[in-house]
Amino acid sequence: MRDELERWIGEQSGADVGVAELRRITTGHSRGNWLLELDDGSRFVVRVEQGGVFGTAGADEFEFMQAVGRLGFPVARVRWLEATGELIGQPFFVMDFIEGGVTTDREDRSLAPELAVDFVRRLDELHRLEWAGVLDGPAPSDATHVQIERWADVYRTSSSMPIPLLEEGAAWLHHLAPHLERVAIVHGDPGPGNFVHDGHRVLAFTDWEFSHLGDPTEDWSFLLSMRGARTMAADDWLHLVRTEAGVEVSDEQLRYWKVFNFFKGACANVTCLRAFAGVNPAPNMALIGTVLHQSFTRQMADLIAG
Amino acid sequence: MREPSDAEMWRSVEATVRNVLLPSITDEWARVITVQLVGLARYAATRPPDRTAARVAELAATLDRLAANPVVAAHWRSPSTEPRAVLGAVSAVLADAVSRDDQPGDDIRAGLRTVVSRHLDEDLAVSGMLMPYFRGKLPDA
Repeated sequence: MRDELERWIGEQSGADVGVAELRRITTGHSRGNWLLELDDGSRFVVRVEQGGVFGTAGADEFEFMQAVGRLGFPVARVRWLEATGELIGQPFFVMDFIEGGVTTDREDRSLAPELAVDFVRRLDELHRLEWAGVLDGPAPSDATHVQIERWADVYRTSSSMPIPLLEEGAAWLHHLAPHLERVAIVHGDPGPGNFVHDGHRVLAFTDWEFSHLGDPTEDWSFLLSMRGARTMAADDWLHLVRTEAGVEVSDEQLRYWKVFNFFKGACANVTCLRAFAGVNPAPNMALIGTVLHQSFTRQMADLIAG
Repeated sequence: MREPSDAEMWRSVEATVRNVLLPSITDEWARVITVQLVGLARYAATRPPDRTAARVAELAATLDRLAANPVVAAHWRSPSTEPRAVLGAVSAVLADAVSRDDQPGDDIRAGLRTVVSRHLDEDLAVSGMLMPYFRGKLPDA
């Protein structure tokens, strides 16, 4: 991988480059991240797909990061994209390494109070970006339905059998899709662990593989019921969202988007069984495809049943 | 002496990875993945045989019992025992019932959804032991 990257980055940058260091760093389930340092001291992150896990593509992530970067949002600058998978066996892209970030345990979800405030303000800022002209998006009346079908298709193309509770979930979400006034950039996986910070302020949002155009309430619901659930109580998050972003999230909206997020997770997790049986036989793939998929489906079904 | 069973071999994998290999691994992500492998080995050794055929038969019988229900009748025209056909019909019936607050909708939720839901609970009762391993924790350490 080192030799291939060295040659390829030289071609992309038009410079004679040498790799001083290449080592795997923070590792998620859907992407492998490698720290790449060149001979001139410049540092990058190589973000590598893991066999189609979660049905997301690095090329889409690259495009979104490039777009929000152009709009002035704090994100690592993306440099080069290799979307074919031919160079190192998986598609990947290269982005700048964010200097000055604090390293924490991968399971640590705690945030200093001022950092939580800054994060909520930044997420709200993302939702308010004027994306027209930079991204192509759906009409407000279609946006949520597009996302429901996106995730249903991810599961349907990964599973050999229909999964009745997921089909019921898709129908429920279509039936009760809330009215949307304005389509926003949605991160799709926001919260502690998915942004770089210096302990007090956000330096950059990371992990953009679920980003899309849609209803920003999806992000708020995901934050307070899933990724941020171990950081503080949902009511405390809601208070912060209200006071810092001026956004009110009703119980009804919260329930709908919790169902959506569990549905999305359950659909995405099915892809791990396909990856496990093929290009990515790591144990986390089997665990996500079984117990996490089943747990998300259970929570979704319970919420639907009321 | 017979050859070792699959369960005994999985128990060997679990014990060796946990007691011999894991203590010497210091990299954080490698430790997490190794703990997950311990859980996966235990799951492989203890999970029951595949229950798909019995479940499909139970769902087909449930659809047969609900055949007079107009929603079921619309999707269960030619009864089958083929898993994809049965699960497809169950999916379509549950999806159509979502928008119905009437008696046929209630009958589907009470008679069919509860069966699917129980199957999921049975799966979770077996796989639930994997959750701490997924988070990189040995549950009985």
